[in-house]
Amino acid sequence: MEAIKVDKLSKIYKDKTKGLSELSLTVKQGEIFTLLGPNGAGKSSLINILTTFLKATSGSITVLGKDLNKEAGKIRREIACVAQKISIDGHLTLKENMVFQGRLYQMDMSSIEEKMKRLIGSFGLQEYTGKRVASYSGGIKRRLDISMSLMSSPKILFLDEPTVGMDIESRRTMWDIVRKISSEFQTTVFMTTHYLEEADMLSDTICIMKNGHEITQGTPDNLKQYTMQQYVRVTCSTPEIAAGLGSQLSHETFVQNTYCSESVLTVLVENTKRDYNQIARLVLEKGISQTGIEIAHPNLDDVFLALTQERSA
Amino acid sequence: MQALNIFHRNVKWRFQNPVTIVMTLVQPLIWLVIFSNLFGGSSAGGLGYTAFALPGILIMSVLSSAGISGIATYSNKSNGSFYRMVISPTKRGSIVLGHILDALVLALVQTGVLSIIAFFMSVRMGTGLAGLLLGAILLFSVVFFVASISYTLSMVIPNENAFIAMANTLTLPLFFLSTALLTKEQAPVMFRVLMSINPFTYAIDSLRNLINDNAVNWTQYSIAIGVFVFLGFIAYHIASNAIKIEQ
Repeated sequence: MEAIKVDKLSKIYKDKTKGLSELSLTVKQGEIFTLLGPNGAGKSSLINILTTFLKATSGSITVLGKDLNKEAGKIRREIACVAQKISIDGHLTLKENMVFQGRLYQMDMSSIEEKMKRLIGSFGLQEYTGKRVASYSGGIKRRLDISMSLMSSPKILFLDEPTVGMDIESRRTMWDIVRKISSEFQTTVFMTTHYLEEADMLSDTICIMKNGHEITQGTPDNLKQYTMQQYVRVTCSTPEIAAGLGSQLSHETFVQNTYCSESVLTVLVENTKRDYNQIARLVLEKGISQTGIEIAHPNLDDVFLALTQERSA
Repeated sequence: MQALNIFHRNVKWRFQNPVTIVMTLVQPLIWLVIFSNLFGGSSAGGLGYTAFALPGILIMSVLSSAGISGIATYSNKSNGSFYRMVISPTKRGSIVLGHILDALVLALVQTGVLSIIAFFMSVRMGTGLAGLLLGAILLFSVVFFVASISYTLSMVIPNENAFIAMANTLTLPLFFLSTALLTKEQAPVMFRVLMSINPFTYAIDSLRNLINDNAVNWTQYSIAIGVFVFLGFIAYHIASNAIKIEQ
């Protein structure tokens, strides 16, 4: 049985904005599933629908074998969500927040105490238990936010952009937490992000979406051809020079594809180490005006371009 | 039990922010202390003005505090608590009930303070302890109704400023077009009609009977409590359904 199965899901808001457009995806039980897409792709719309907060316009959703349109109440017992914005009550202490959360899920006091003890230990929150959470740092608040969401032992935990706006150190800590949730608490993790390397590093399955629709879904290995492509980037002095260089390079046998964005020319090659030298030599020999040549890692735009070009081909 | 969980959370915030209690007391206190002195010499159905005005002031007090109570929804929405509650298996009705119970506690504090001050201004409960209990039940049924309406408004009105404007627009006419300040007989004919269709008139008249007369007018009380229990029941169901997946 799949944890989540979404079929041709669409969401059109009251102001006619399209949030989702015939989106389909499948999440297996126990995996870390990452929804990867730029801002405005529809990731939060999808999470809000899957967590029963928003109603879809059309399409079907099954969560743990239950139809979300008919059994939202039962599904709510099995899921939890850590929203993009920290959602803890500042006027309560850490323990009061956890008790409040446990009671929202109709847990009895002995289960609450037991789970609270385990989570406080697992997330290193011992020293903060008696203090009001308004005085905590952002990182501690985030840890509490996540541990609160685990109070009810959800079978599926949704994490909406858990690392957005974090520095690299905090992001690494968050990655460890996500792995821990999956391994220690045997919870299916459904996470959204717009960081390519994060999706690649953490996920069992990645779904890439744009404009409310999925572009592809697969394991990080399956998607390596898109996420680990070999690029050389040349920053030219003007967009015209970049376009001219692009058309010259497109005739070279080692060049698979080229595209321009303003004065930056991106060249998809077979082997960056070898082909970088050839491109650099050609640029210098022809005296092309540029400010930098570099080996680049693909960003989301590159992946989308590669995927959409493949589709149109 | 679920409602008590939400009530506990709400009331904890309330007592950590006592200014929200004090602020709702200011206006009715001004009415009670200043206006009672100002109109102290005037005759109002043969009663002392403080005893005459107290029922209206109590209703105004709970009308304005319960009327504005929905404003908490906006901070709950912005800090994520609302989302956390709505995606949990907690019944929608329990979320509304938790909100109403908080409004009831606030009303209890308000009416308690106002009644004690009125006591020191020589107002006595004509119908004794029974009248006190009946009055409290009636006031709480009013709070139940008004807090439910306020919660519904907070679900459908997009922002706090519009909500405050709407709450004021509704509560002030309801107060002035009731028998809070004048008896029906003292009001012009057109106002009498409006007073008669205003449900708060029935609550004020019944409270006035409980405070100023020696015996409970059961017909009057039954109509008043019946009106508010009925309206409260409908408003509560509307509020519970307003927390729907509406977006």
